[in-house]
Amino acid sequence: MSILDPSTPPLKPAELFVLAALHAAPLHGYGLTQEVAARSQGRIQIRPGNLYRVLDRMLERGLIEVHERASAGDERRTYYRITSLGRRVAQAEARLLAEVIGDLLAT
Amino acid sequence: MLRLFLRAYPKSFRQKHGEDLMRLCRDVYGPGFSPRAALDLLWNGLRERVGAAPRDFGEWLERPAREGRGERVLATILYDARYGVRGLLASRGFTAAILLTLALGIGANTAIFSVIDAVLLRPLPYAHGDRLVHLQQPVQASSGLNAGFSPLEVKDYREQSRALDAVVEYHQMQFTLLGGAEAQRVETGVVSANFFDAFGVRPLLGRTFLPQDDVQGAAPVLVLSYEYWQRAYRADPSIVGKTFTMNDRVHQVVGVLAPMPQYPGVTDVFMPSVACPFRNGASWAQNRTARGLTVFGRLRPGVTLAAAQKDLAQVAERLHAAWPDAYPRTDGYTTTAAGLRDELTRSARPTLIVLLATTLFLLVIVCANVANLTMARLVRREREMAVRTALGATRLRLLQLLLTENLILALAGGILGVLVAAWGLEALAAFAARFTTRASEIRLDGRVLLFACGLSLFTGVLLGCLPALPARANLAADLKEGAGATAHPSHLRARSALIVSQVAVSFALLIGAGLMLRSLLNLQSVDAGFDLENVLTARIDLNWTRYRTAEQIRPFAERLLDRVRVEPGVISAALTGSVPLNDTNPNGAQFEIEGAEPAEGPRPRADFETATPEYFQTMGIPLLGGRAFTAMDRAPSAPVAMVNQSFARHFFKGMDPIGRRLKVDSGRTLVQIVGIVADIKQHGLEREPGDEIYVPYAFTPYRDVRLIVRSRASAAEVERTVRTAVKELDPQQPVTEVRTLAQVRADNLASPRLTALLLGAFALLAICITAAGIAGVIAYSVSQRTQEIGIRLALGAEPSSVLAMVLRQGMALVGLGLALGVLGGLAISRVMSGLVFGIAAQDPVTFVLGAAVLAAVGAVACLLPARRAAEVDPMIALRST
Repeated sequence: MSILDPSTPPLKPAELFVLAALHAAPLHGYGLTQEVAARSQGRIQIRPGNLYRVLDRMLERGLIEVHERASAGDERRTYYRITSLGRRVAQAEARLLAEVIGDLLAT
Repeated sequence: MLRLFLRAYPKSFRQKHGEDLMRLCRDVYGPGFSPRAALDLLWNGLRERVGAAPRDFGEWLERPAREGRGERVLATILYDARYGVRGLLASRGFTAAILLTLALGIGANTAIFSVIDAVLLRPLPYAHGDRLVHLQQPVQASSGLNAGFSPLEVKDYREQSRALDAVVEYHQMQFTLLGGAEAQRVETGVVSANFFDAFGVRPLLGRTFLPQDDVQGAAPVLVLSYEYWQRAYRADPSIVGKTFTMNDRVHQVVGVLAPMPQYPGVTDVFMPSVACPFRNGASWAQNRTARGLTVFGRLRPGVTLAAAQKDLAQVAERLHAAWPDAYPRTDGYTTTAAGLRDELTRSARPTLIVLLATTLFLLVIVCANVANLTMARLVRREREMAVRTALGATRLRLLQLLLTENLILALAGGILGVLVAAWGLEALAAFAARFTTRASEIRLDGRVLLFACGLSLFTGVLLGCLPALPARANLAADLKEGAGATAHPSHLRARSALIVSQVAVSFALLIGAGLMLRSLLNLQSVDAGFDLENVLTARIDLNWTRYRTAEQIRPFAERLLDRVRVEPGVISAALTGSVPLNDTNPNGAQFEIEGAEPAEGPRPRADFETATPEYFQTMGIPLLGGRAFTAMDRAPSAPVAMVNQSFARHFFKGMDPIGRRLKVDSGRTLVQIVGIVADIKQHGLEREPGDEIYVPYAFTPYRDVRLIVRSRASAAEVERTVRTAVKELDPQQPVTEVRTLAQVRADNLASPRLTALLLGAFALLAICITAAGIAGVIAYSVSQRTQEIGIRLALGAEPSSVLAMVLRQGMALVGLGLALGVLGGLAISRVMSGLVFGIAAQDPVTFVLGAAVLAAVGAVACLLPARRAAEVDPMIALRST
C-alpha cells in the first residue's frame, strides 16, 4: 500500500477484481461483470445497480479511465481501461496479498 | 419503465452513467420490466444517495421558504412538502403505521388489477383478436356438450360460410420426436395451413405454414412453439432447417413462433393437418361423424357475432338436410360461435371478480383506518392549526397544507405498494394460470403503474379532504394554554362512523372467506369412491407407428403388467383409459339396451372406460353385484361389460342388470353385463359421477393407457420400478404424468384451496386493521372522558360498571357495523354463488359464525381501553381539571 496515501481506503475485493480484469484489456460494463464473475469463480457477482457505483468511485480516484465510447449499430457502450496509477495500486495490493498468502501457506 | 427506478440515483450520477446502467440492466435482467432490476436500482440508488449526499437532504429539509413571491404557488407547495416531510419524519410511529396499511391496500389492489388487466381487459395478443370466434357444435342429447367438427364439416363450413373469411381447425396429438438427444413425446398441434394467419400470429424465426405445406404429398414440416424452443433447444437460433423423425417420416423445422398464449392447448410443435396420420386415415377424413376437431373462424370485417350465428345456422340447416344420418333429429345438433376472448377467460372471471371486490373492500378499510389515524393526529395538531388561523391562514390554505402532506404519504405508500405487488405477482400469476392461459401475460407494466399512481393520488386527495370536513369554530378555546387535545364531538362522531364502516366491510370480507373455506371443507370431505392411499398412476402412450394393431399392443400391456406385478412391495397393477378426477365431460358415447323399447327423445349415453381385471381391486372400488373381469374375458369368448351403480339406477330402475345385454359401437357389438361396481368421481370432486360402462381392456386395447399400481413401497420406488419395466420392454417408450392418486386429489382441490387462502388472508388483514381501529377510537374516547369517569368513580360507581359502560359503547359500534355488514355479505355472496360447493351462497351458518368472530374480536379490542378506564384513579383524574 506504499504508493497509496494512507488516508485513502484500501481496495475492496470487487475493486481489486475490476482492476485485474481491466489489466488484461479494456472492457465495457457487461464484460466487466462477466469477467469479474469468471475470475472469482462466481464468488463476486457485481449487480448492475452497484457496478457503476464501484466504477464511479474508481474513476474519481484515478484508478481507471474511460477508454472509448464505442458504437456498434444502434448500441453504444462505454469501455474502461486501467490507468498507470491503477496498475501500480493493483500491483502493490497484489504484492501485499502475495506476502500474506505466502506466510499463510508456509506455516 | 425501469427509468423510473433509475431516478433513485443522484442526478449527477445519472448523467454520467445512466445510459450505461440501463444498457447493463437490459443485458443482465433481459428486456422489459423486471422487479429484480427495479429493486437492484432502487437499493443501490438509495445507497449512492446516502453515501454521496447525506447533507443535501438535510439542507433541503431545513431550507426556509424564502423563494421570491413571483414563484409563490410553487414555493408554497415546496414549503408544504418540506414541512410535511419534516412532520412525518418527526412522528415516525404514525408515519410507519400509515405507510404499512397504505402499502398493503394499494399493493393488493395493484396486484389484482394487473391480473384483471392482463386477463379480462386487454385485447387478445392476436392481430385479429376481436374478430376470432370459436365454432361449436353442441349436441342436445349429450347435455349440450360441444361435439367438435369432422374434417368434412370443416371443409363445408369453410366453403359455405359467408360471415367468416377464415375457418381453421386444430387438434392435439402426442407423437414421438426422434433426432434430439433422446426420444421425446411432444404435444403436437395439428392445424390448417392458414391457422397462424387467421390468428395473426407471426413467427419469431423462419416462417409459419404455407398453403402448399397442407396438400397431399407435401414434404412434412414443423413449427415450434416459443416455450418448447426455449425449453428443449435452449433458444437455439439455428434450429430452423433442422430435421427430426416423427411417425416414421423426416420432418423439417421451418419456423419458431413468437410468444403467445398456449391456446387451445399446451403445444410443443405444430404440423399442417395433412401431415397427421390419423386425421387423414380413411376412417376419419371421409367420415362425416368423426368429429372432435376444434374449429375457429375469423369474422369478416364489419360482421357482427349475431350475423355470424345466423349465417352458421343456415349452413348447418343445409348440411342437416343433405346428410340426415349424420345429424339424427333426435340428438339435436346445432352450430354456434362464441367470441374467443370470452372463451379464454370464462372460467377465470368469477374468481377474479370476487378477488377484485375483496381488494376494493380492503382498500375501503385501509382508507378508513388511515383517515382515523390522520384525524387522531390532527386533534393533537389543533393548536398548531389555531395558531396558523390566528396568524391569517385561510381554510383553503390549511386544506392545501394537509392535502400536500397526505399526497406525500399516499404516494410513498403507493411506491411501497407497487413493491408489495411485484413481490406477490409471481404467486398470483401461478394462481391465475389455473383458470386461464392468459395468465402468461400478467406483468407490472405502464398501465398497472398508472393504475397504482391514480389509486395513490385518489387516496391522498380523499384523506387530505376528509379531516378538514368537521367545522372549525372554537378558535379561542383552542388557543388557550392547557387546552391540550380537546376534541370536537364531531370528530368522535366521524371516527365512530369510520369504525362502523370498517366493521361492516370486514364482515363482508369475512363472509367471502368463510363461504370459500366451507366450500373447501365440503370438497375435502367428498368421498371420491376409491381408496387413494399408496396408489401410483402413470401415462404410457404407445408410439402408434410401432403399435398399430391390437395384436401389437396387447402383448406389451400384458408383459408390462406381469413385469410390474412381481416387483417386491407391489400388491396389484392394472391398466385403464383415464385417471379419475379428470376434468373431462361425462356421458360421451351412445348405447342401447337390448330388448328395451326405444324411448322418445335422444338415445341414452354413458361413459365408456376400459379396465384390466385387477383394476377395481387396485383402485379399491367395491364390487356390488355379479363378478369382476377375469383373464378369460377376451376374444374369442363373448364380450362382457360391467356398469356402475348410477348406470344401474338410471337405466334399470330397481331391476337386476346382470345378464342383460347392451348394444354398443353403433349397434355392431353386443356386450353382456356381468357385474356392478360402486360409483367413483370420474369427472372431478364437485361433479356427480356419470353413468359408466366398463369393458375389458383385452377386447379393445388402447395405445394411450394409464398404469395404476397399488403397493406397500414408497411412490418414488414404484416410479423407478415402472420406468425400469417400461424401458426394458421398449427403450424408446416415454412414461409421463406420474402421480399418486393422493396427488391427483390434491391437484383437484388446489384452486379452491388457493382461492380460500387468498380470501382468508385478505379477511384476516381486514380484521386486524379493524381491530386496531376500534381499539384506537375507544382508547381515544376514554382519554377524552377521563374526568367524567373519575367523577363517576368518586361518586361510588363500581369499576366493573365503568368497564361495562366502555364495552357497551364499543360494542354498539361493532353491532351497528355488523348490521350494515350483512348487506355487504349478501352482496359478496351473490357474486360468489358460482364458486361455492355444498352450501347455499347465503349460508346462515357462515353469517352467524362470521358475526360471532367479528364480535369477539371487537370485544377484545374494546377490552384494553375499557380496563384502563376502570383503573382510572379518581383523585388523579379530578386533580387534572
